[in-house]
Amino acid sequence: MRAGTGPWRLALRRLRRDRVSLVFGGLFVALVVLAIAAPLWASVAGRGWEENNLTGKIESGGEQVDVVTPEGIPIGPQWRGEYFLGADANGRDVAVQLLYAMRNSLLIGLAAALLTTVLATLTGLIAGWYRGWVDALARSSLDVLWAFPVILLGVALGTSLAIGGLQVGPVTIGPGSVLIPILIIGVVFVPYMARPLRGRVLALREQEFVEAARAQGAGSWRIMSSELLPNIASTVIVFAPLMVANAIMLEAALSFLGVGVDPSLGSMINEGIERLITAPHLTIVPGLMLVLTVLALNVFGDGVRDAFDPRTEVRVGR
Amino acid sequence: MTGLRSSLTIAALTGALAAAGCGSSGDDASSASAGKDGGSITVAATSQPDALDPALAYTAQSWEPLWVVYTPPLTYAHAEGEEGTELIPGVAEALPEISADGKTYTFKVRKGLKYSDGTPVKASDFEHTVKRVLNLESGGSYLFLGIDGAEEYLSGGDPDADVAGIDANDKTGEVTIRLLAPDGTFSNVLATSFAGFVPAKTPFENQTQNPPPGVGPYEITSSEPNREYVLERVKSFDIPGIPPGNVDTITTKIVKSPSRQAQDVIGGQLDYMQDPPPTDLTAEIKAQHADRYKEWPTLSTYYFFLNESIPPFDEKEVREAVNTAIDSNAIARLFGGRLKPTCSLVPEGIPGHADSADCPYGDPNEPGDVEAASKMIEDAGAAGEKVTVFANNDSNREEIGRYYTDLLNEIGLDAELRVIDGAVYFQTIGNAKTKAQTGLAAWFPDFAHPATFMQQIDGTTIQPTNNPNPGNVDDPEINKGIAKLVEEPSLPAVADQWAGLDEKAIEESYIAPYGSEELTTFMSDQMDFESCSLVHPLYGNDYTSFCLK
Repeated sequence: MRAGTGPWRLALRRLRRDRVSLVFGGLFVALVVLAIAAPLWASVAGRGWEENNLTGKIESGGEQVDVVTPEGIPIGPQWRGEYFLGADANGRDVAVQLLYAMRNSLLIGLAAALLTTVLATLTGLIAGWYRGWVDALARSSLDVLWAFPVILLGVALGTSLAIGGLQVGPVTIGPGSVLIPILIIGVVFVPYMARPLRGRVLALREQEFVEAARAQGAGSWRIMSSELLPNIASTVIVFAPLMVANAIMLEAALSFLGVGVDPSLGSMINEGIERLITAPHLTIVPGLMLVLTVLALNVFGDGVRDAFDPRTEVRVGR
Repeated sequence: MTGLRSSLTIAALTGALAAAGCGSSGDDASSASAGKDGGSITVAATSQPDALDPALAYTAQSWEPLWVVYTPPLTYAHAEGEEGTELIPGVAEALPEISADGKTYTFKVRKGLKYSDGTPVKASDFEHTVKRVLNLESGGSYLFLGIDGAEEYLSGGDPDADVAGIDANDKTGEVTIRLLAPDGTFSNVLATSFAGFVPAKTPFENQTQNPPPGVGPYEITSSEPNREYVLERVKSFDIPGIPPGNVDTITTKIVKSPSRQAQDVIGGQLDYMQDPPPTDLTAEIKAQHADRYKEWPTLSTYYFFLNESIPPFDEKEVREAVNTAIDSNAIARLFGGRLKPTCSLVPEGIPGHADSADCPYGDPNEPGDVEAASKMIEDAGAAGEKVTVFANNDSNREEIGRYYTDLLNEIGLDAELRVIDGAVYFQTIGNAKTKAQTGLAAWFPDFAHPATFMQQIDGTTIQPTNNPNPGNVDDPEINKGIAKLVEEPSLPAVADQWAGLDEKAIEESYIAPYGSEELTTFMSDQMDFESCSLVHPLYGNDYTSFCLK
């Protein structure tokens, strides 16, 4: 008799059949590779992302032209190593800056989503398993966090931490550190993931396999880690790519509003807005990159959801 | 003086030194404009002025219109360039008589003068005007704290109490002001917008929604905050030296987008925009509408403060390296070309300005010497020292911060940029706990006197919070010089000595100045730009000069 196919294998098989999701998953991987290759491109371009070049000239169309004109208008895309995507107001190379911005956005997005996942899983497990006052406390905390508009909360935290950084006991995080947006975004998204996970744990704890484990003398932590966690893993996996996409969007929004990190896709878009007519590339290029990244993650995330839990419809955000 | 607040908000004191056109001779106010009389125009402001109350107004957006509504005892000639910094009698009959010890100022209110609502102007209104500034805790209250009894009035808490140092005789119209110490800038204080006469019945509260009557060529007849306010000509106004205005009605609308403002001025829906057009449209405007656009220098100084109380800028050589490396023309591109390179603290157009020919670190119009600066940093043993550069997120400031941070890294320091919200920037760098090493600063004066610039390098102004001297410059020779010169009532007599102090500060590299901002006038096609666009060095575009074709 042949052994039955496991749920993980089944999910992966379904995912493999979803070509569109795989293409967008591949696109995301390609964007990650590009971001990792940022220093390489910087060496091709011949300048770092921070390097200003306000009064420099380059050859374009057979003649020497200003990187930034005396009127403050930066040069457009040159489609070659140096200034491939043009310059910004400070004469910095937009392509180099874009790749470093991608690094920051992806790093923050991935790390924040990981933090959200860990915190939300722990909260969901503990609240759902213990119920009673533990659940009430967790639920009210999540409700309070949920009640704040995410952007407003992010801006408030980002502004207050921008001057002095964050000091918790012996741990000090300097202002401008990527850890600050990671912490902010990682925390503000916890309710979005913890609430459905808690609901799932509440349902699971009444199932026979949990009662069986309890009858065998397993303690709470053992049941949570060995019985409940594997059963909510698929939900967590379904959430993960969407959380990354949302974290990247929030990071871009915060940077757009001036409380994120530099360089970031959001801060690049913000800087470009003032020169939308004379230098549209400053807004379009990071905007497109943001759209591509989030689109890739969302479509891939939908594919993962369909593969792991085809009956449910997960939506993150309000 | 709450100087850094001023530098934040007081673009009020923008000035024109060499603006073209306009047909103003400066000597004869009526020559400021010779265009059509009457008609209505519409002006655009990017945001609601901070206040439409002379006791509280403290920004360029408010001082520009209020200058033609509330005339102080003294005022400035309606002229361009240095002529516009000349004090002339306003509500006062003549310039004040100053006692031999420099502590008592006396002037007489013009006879028969009336407010725009017909109320006669009385000498005692001046005391009420000053009391409102003090009582409302206006940003300008510091200007009047040198009056005998002003501190007591402020701490007493009774708005109707007397200010001991102000005597007003309504019968003779004489006003006598006694100061605690001689103050050579006090005549200029009497010409600030804060001293604009208002009737004694004006309440002790912000009157922005219902601006009080004033003495001026225009009156505010309607005010809808965040929407619009309307100035109408006062036909009965007549003070020699102050032009009566040309257009009958000036409606200022709040239009948040500078881009839309510029488009509307091009299209003729708006007649004038207070702020410069966005960089994006400047090239088009210069190319296609040059006949109604001009740029003019202001009485401003943009500089990097270098905190000499903490490393590495406690070393003169490091400060010199910064001054040596700066490329003002590079920074000018971040202003869309609207920056005039300079190397002094007191800008051109203010008596006491040091000649830029004496720049110790080379011609500010030439690129900086990064190589020499790097060597200086190395010689000072400061290579690799960590530096935090402070900038704010106001227009182009972050970009300037980026340029400066990159420059410091290029000369061998290890710099990183910290961007602070513009609303709290000066409080942050002016707080001793921040220990701000270096960053962006700018100064627009409250009046045309070098003393207002010098407080940024005056050691006696250093304070733990709201420090107007973020570089903590404390040079006994400069402190002593300022204390002595500020008592001198005749500025021209000591202008060279003020310039000497400025030169000393630059030689010691206490600050790193890089330029004066240029502002703009852009008008619609229906305005007579050629004859009617006078730019005053302190108050910007003079509304009394505006006229239609």
